[in-house]
Amino acid sequence: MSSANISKQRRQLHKVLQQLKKHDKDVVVSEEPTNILFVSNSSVLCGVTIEELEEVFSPYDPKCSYIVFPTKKSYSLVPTQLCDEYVIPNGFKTIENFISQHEEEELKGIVSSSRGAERLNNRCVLHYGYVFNYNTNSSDEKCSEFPSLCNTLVDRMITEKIISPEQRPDQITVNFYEPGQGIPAHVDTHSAFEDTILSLSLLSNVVMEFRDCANSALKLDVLLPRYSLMVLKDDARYRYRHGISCRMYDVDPVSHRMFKREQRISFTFRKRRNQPCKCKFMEFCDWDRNGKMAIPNDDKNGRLLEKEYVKNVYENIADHFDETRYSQWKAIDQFLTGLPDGSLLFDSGCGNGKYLIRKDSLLKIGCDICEQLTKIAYNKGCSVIRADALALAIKDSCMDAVLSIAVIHHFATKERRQQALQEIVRILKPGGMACITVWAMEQHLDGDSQYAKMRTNKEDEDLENCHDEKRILVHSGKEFKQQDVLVPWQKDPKGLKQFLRYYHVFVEKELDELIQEIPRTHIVSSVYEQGNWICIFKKV
Amino acid sequence: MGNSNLKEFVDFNHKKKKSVEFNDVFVKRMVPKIDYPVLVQAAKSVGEGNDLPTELPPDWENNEEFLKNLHELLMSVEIIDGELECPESGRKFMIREGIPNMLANEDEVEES
Repeated sequence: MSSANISKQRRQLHKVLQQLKKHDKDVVVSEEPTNILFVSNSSVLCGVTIEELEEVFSPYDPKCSYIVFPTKKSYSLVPTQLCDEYVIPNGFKTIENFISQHEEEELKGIVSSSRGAERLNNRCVLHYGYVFNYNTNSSDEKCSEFPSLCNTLVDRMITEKIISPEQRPDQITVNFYEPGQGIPAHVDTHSAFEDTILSLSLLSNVVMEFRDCANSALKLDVLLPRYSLMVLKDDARYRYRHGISCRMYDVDPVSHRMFKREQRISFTFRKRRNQPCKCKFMEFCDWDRNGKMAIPNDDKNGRLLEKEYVKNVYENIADHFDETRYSQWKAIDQFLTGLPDGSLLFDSGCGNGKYLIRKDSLLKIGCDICEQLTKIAYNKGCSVIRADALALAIKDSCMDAVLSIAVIHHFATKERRQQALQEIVRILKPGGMACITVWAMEQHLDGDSQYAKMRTNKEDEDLENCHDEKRILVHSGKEFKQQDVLVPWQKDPKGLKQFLRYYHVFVEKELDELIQEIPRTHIVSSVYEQGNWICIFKKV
Repeated sequence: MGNSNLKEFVDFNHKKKKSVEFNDVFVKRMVPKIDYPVLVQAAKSVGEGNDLPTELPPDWENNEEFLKNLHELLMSVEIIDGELECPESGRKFMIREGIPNMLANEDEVEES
């Protein structure tokens, strides 16, 4: 289908939905897809019969039903039986009927009689083996031994090869939930516990929610049946936050039926780690991994970080990046329009050639470090070279104008960011102008930026990822929590193939000050647009 | 770094020519911006620009034949596969599939 047809369809759909919202207030239009199809222009008034509807839809879903209005409405509704695949995070599984009803009663008896339960906001907890400290998120203080039934259960886990003998847990946390209670979304601290986390569910079923740390808009609901043992490893253990909402009802993600919360007890078995975490989810870990995840403070580490999280990522996402980069920013467009005809313009970090393909009377050359992106630009007819923005293969003082659009924020140290600007100043002719844009740390100074709007589904409360002066953190949510971050790039909608791009987002005035530190620069304008700082300066 | 001014095309494997309509306004604007002698020297090293003088003629603005030949060189000839050599360091930079690779750091240079 041509893109003209697609946008025409979208416009028509939008118009129809607007009419619906305006005239039929008893119809609730959902933002997310539901199982109910809305079929416009399809009622009896429009001359469409129920038989015709059946003919269209029954090949897709023989069990669907039809809501057809005899008068007044112009649409029909088709509730289908089709439902979403039950998607679970990688590394998650449940082993059903791990304990018997009798064992459940015995366990309940043991913990109910215990006096050591600690009251938290929305549940009570009890520990065996070692106390779990909710302030430090670690377990160092010894406490009472495992009840013997728990040891039996651990033996069973080993016999059934759920874990190996070396993975024998030495810490248990028991959680008591009254109906309506829950546990906030969290990742079990990487360095406190080993790989596998096991959790037994007693007394009732519950729905647990998993959110990808790199994409908190993606929420997966999983069912934890009574008597089952949940096993968390890999992504589910290290890269997803899991939690139980505080509410009175759950919707079973398998049967889609609603059920009422009842009292529930869980036993979580963990093995304490005695050295820092070595998981393969380095970017999500809780320490700087021997400097690999530290905010770089020298050129060599800066370069290494950029190679891994800037250059290599762009090589992998080039095509997809090209598809999503086409709109022009006002301030940049104005800058370019203001240049005299025949000006020689250099685009340092031209990417897919977005500003090089522009129709104008400028002579444009660009460079990018990424091979795939330069190829894409070249194939669009641009004059491009592969070069490093820190070592431009361009003569001194020969360019009338320079662009650096969304580039300098990819450099990992202040010195490298300065060097990028120095190169720009070097190649500019005296009197020449440069337009620099970088991502802003402050995301909605002018109302909601498009970027911030896109991220409204994401959770802002991020319990584990608080500001860390020394480590680079994965960005999630709307607002940046610190300046040096890894921002996920979703290559496909299900978020299965994902890359992390490094950014140093700029605070207000930071770009101006960086420019002012370089001799012969004079800032002409400095604005904020769509979540970015845009500076235009002249070389004097 | 990045200051080598004289680059000579030493070798080329493949060049492409396309026909472009003569635009005299454009080429007149270009003349002050280019280092003419270097351009002609580079062009001649790849077998082009043979009808162009080594130095910029003083009457270039009115010399239509000259402007046409210069325009042809600037707009119609492209090196697809070749090599650039820095006359100071002798360092070679490849041109592959129309894109010169000017990356200087050893660990950045990739085998195409």
